[in-house]
Amino acid sequence: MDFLEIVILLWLPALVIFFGLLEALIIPLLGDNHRFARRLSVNGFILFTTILIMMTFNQVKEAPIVYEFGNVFGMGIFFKIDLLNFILMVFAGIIFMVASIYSLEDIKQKDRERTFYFFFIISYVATIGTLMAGDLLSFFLFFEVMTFSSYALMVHYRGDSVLEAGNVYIYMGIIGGLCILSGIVLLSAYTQSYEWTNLAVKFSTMGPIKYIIGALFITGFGIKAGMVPFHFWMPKIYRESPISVNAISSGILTKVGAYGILRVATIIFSVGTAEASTSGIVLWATSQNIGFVLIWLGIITMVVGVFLALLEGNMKRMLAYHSVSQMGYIIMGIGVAAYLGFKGATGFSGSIYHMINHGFFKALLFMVAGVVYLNTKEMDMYKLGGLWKVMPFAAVVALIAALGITGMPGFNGFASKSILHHAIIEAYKYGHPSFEYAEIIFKVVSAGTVCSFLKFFGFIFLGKCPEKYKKLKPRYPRMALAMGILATFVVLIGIRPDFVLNTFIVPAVLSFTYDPAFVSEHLVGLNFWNSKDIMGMVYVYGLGAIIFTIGVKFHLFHKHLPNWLNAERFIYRPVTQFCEEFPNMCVQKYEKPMILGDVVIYVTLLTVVLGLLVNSGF
Amino acid sequence: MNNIHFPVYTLLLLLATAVVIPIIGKESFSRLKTLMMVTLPASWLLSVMTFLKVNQEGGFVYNFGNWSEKIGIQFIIDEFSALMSLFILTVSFFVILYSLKDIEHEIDPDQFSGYYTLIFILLFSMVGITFSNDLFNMYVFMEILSLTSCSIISIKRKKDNYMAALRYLVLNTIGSLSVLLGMALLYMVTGHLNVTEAARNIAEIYQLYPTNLLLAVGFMVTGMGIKAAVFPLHIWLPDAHSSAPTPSSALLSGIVVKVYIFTIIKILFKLLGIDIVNSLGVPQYITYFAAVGMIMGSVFAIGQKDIKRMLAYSSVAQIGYIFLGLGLASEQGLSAALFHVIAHALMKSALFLSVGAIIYKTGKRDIRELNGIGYEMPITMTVFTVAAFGMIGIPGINGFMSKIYLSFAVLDADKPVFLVIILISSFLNAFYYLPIVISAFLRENKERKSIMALEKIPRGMLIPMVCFALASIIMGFYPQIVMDVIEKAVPTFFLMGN
Repeated sequence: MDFLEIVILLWLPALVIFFGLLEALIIPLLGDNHRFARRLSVNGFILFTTILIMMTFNQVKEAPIVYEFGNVFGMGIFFKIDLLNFILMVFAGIIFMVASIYSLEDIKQKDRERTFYFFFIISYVATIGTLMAGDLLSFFLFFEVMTFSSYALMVHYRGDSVLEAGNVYIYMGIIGGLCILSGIVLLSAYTQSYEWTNLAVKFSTMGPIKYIIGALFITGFGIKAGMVPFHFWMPKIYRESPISVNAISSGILTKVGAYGILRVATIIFSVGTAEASTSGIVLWATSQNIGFVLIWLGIITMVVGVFLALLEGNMKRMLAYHSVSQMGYIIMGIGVAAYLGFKGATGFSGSIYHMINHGFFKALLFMVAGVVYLNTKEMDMYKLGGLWKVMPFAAVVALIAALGITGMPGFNGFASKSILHHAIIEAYKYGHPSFEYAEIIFKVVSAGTVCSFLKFFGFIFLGKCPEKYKKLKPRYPRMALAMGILATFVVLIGIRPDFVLNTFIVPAVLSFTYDPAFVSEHLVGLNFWNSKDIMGMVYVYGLGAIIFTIGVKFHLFHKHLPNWLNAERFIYRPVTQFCEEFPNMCVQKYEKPMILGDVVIYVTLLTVVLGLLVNSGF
Repeated sequence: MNNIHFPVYTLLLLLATAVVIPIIGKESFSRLKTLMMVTLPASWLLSVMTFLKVNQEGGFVYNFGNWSEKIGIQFIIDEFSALMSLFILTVSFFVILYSLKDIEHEIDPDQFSGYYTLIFILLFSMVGITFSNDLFNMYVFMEILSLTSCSIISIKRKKDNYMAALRYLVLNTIGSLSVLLGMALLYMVTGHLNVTEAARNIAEIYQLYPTNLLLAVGFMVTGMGIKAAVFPLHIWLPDAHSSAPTPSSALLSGIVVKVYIFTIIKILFKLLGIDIVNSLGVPQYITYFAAVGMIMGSVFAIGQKDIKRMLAYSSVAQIGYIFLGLGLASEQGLSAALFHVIAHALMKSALFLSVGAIIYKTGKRDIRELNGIGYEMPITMTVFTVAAFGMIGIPGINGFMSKIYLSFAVLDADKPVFLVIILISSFLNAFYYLPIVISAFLRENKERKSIMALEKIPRGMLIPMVCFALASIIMGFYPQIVMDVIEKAVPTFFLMGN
C-alpha cells in the first residue's frame, strides 16, 4: 500500500497520460473481432485512473499535490491537484465511464467504432489534463486537444449537415482558443506569471489592461461553456452528434469552460490569503467589477437559455438550450464569488456544486432522450406521448432527472440551486441593490425550467400514445445500467446534500481565499430542509405550472423566434462569410494583375526608399 | 580531429559532388544515389562538427589562404552561421532523400543528373552565403542561388514552369541589381567589402553620409525582400512553388527563401549595427510590410483551389511572421524570428512532402477533390494534419511555440497591435488548413469507400515526411533544444553596436 501511494504521489499525471496514450494506441490495433476487449479496456482504463485519482484524497486534503515536468515548453510545466479539481476529475471519470457504458448501444456502426473510442480516450485524458494543469500553458495544451478530439466525437455521424454544424463548433473553438491564448500571453507578459495564482496585488497597480485580460479569458472560456452570446454552437452541434457525446459534452466538457472562468475570476483576480485579512477594499476592486459583469452575463445566459428552450420542440435542442441556461446559473455563482470577494464563499461552492449536479441530471436527460429516439426514431416531442407504458424504466429515470433539474427537494438540483439562491441574496445584501431584480429573475427562470420539464415529461411520457409506438418492445439493458447509475447519484446526493458539501466542497472553499468565519456561518452545517427554501420551491413550481397552462392554452410553445434574433447571425455568420468572400474576391480580382504587374515591384521599391528618406528628414 | 577547415571542406564536398554527378550519373541512377547518400551525410557530419566546435569554443574567422581580410576572402563561422548551415543541410538531406523516389515521377530520367547537379550547387551556394563575411561573395553566392533555383523550377519542361521560371528570373534579377546597387553605394562610402571592416567604418562615418547609407540599405533590403518574398514583392513565389517539382518546392519554401532572410539579418545587424538601423527607421518599415503580409498571404491562400499554390501563399504569410520578429529589432524578436525560420522549414517541408505524396499517388491537386484521402493515405495525411495544426498554432507543435515567442517579443517591444494581427492570421490559417483536414478524414469519397488502408507510398518518401512531423512535435514540446542555441547566436548581432 505504501509503495502504491508513493507511485501515485510521484507519477500520477505521467501515469494517466502514459496509460491514456497506450490505450489510444491499443484501440486501433484491436480489430473488429475484439470489440468486447476494446470496450472493456476503455472502461477499465477510465475506472483505473479514477480510482488512482480518488486514492490521493487524503494527501490532497492536507496540501495540494504538485508534479513538475521540467523543460516542456521551455519554461517547464506542472500539474497540481487541489481539492477543486480533485472533485471535478472524479466527476469527469464517472461521467465518461457512464457515457462509455451507454455508448455500447448508442455507437453501433462497426467500422467507425474504433475511431469513436480512440477519440473518446483522448478526450478523457485531455479533460483530466486540463483540470489537473497547474500552469496556463499546459492548461491550454490540453484544452485545445480537448476541443479537437471532442470535435471528432461530435461529427461521428459524418454527412454534410453534421460537418456544417461541426464547422460552427470547431471554428468557435479555435476563436475561443485564440482568445485564451492571447489572454495567457498578455497575462504573463504583464505579470510574469504562468500559474493559477492570486494576482490582485499586481493588478491593483495596472491600468485597463487587466480588464482586457479578463475579458479575453472570459470570452474564451465562455465560448466553451456556452455563455450567451456564444451559445449558438450548442443546439446546433448537439442535434447532429451522438447521444453519448452530448452527455459527455454537457456533463463535463462545458464544465471545463466554467472551471476556467472560475479559476480566472476567483483565483487570478482574487487576493492572496496573506493580504486578504489585512488589506482593504482596494485590492478587491478588480474582482468586484469582473464579478458584477459575470453575474449579469450569467443572468442573461439563464434567461435566454430557458426562453429558447421553451420554444423548442426538438428534444435534443431543448436540452441543449437548458444546458445553456444551467451554465448561466453556474456563471452567476462564479460572478457572486468574484463580486463579494472575501465573502463570496457561497457563490463559489454553489457553482461547483451545481457543475456536478447539472452534469448528472443533464447527462441523464440526454440519455433518456437518446433511448426515446433510438426506439421511436422521433426527435420532435410534440409527436410523442404516453411512452411510460412502453418504456417504464426510462420514464422513471426521466422523472428523477426532471425533478433534479427543476430543484425538487430530495433531489440533487435542490441543494445546489438553493445555495446559488442564497448567493444571489447575499450579493444583494452585501452589494449592489440592483441584484434584487437578479434574484427575481432567478426565480422566474427556475419557474421556466419547471414549465419546460413539465412539457418534456408530459409530452413524451404522458398523454395519449400514438398507435405506431404501442407495440414497441424496447430493449436497452446497457443504456438502462448507465441511466440507473446516474439516477442513483441524483437521488443519493438529493437525500444527503450535506455530505458532498461538507466532505468535498467546504474544504475546497476553505483552501481558497475566503473568510473562514463567513464559511462556518453560512455553509458548514447548512440546513437544506428549512421551510424558507422549500416554500420558495413551492412558489416556483406553482409559477411554472401556471406558465405551462398558459403556454398550452395559447399555443405559445409553437411560436418561433424571428430570424433576426439569432445570435449566430450576428457573430458567427459575418465572420465566416467575410473569411470566405473576401479572399475569393481578392483572388479573382487582384491575383492575376498583381502577378503580372512588375510595376508593383518598382512601386514598392520606390516607396521604401522614398519613405526611408522622408522618415530620416532628408 | 575537429579543425577549422571543416566549413570549407563542407563547401568543397558539395561542390565536388555537383561536379562528379554528371560524370557518373549518366549511366546509372542507383550509383548516383549512392554517391549522394555518401557525400551529403558526410558534409552534414562536417557541419555538425563545426557546430559543436563553435558551441564549445566560440566563433572564429577563416581567411582563405591567410590573405588579410582587406583583400582576401573571409568566412565567419559563429554560432549563427554554424547553426544555420547545419539547419540547411539537415532539411535538405531529408528532402533529397524524399526526392530520390519522387523525382522519377516528376521529370525525365535523362534529367536526373542535371537536376541533382543543380541541387548540389544550390546547397553549396546556400551554405556559402551563410558563412561568407564579405558583401561581394554574398552577392556572387546569391546569384548562383538565384540561377540554380530558377533552373530547378524550370526543369519540368512544361509551359507553366517556363513562365514561372522566367518571371522568377526577371524579378530576381531586379532584386539582385537592387542589392548590387546598394552594395556599391556602401562601398562608395566605406571603401570596404568585408562586413566587419565596413561595419567599423560605417560606425565612424554614419554622421557624414546618412543619405548614402539610407539609400544603400533601402535598396539592399528591398532587393532581398523580393528574393525572400515579402508580401507585395512575393508575386513570383506562388507560380514558382506550385509548378516546380515537389522536392524543389520544399527546398525553395523551406530554406532558399530563408537564406535571403539570413542575409538581411546580417546586413541590418552585423553590417550597420542595431543603433544605426534603428535611427534610420528601417525595422519599423519592415514590420508594416510583415503585418500586411501575414494577413494578405493567408487571405490569398484561402481563395486558392490548387493545394500547392495554397501552400505557397501560406509561405508568404509565414515569412511575414519572420519579418515581424526581425523588424522588432530586439533580441527577443530576432530569436523568435530565427525560431520560426526553423519551425516553418520543418512544418512547410512536411506539408509540401505530404502533398507531393498525394500527387504522386493520386495525381490530385485540387482541394475539392481530396475527400476521403485520409483513408487512402493515413500516414501522409497524419503528417499533413500535424504540420497544419502547427501552422494554426495548436500547442504541442513547434508553430505554437514560435507564436508564443513572437507574441512575447511583440509585447516586449510595446506594440500590442501586432498581437492582434498574429491572432487574426492564426485564425485565417485555421480557415484554409482545417477544411482540407476535415474533408480528408471526415468526408466520403464517391469513388472509394472509406476504409482505412495501409498506403503504398515508397518508404523512402514516407520516412522523411514522418521525420519532419516528429521533429515538429519534439520541437513543440521541447523548444529549448533549439532556443538555447538560438539564444547563444542572437547576442552576437547586438554586440556590434557597442
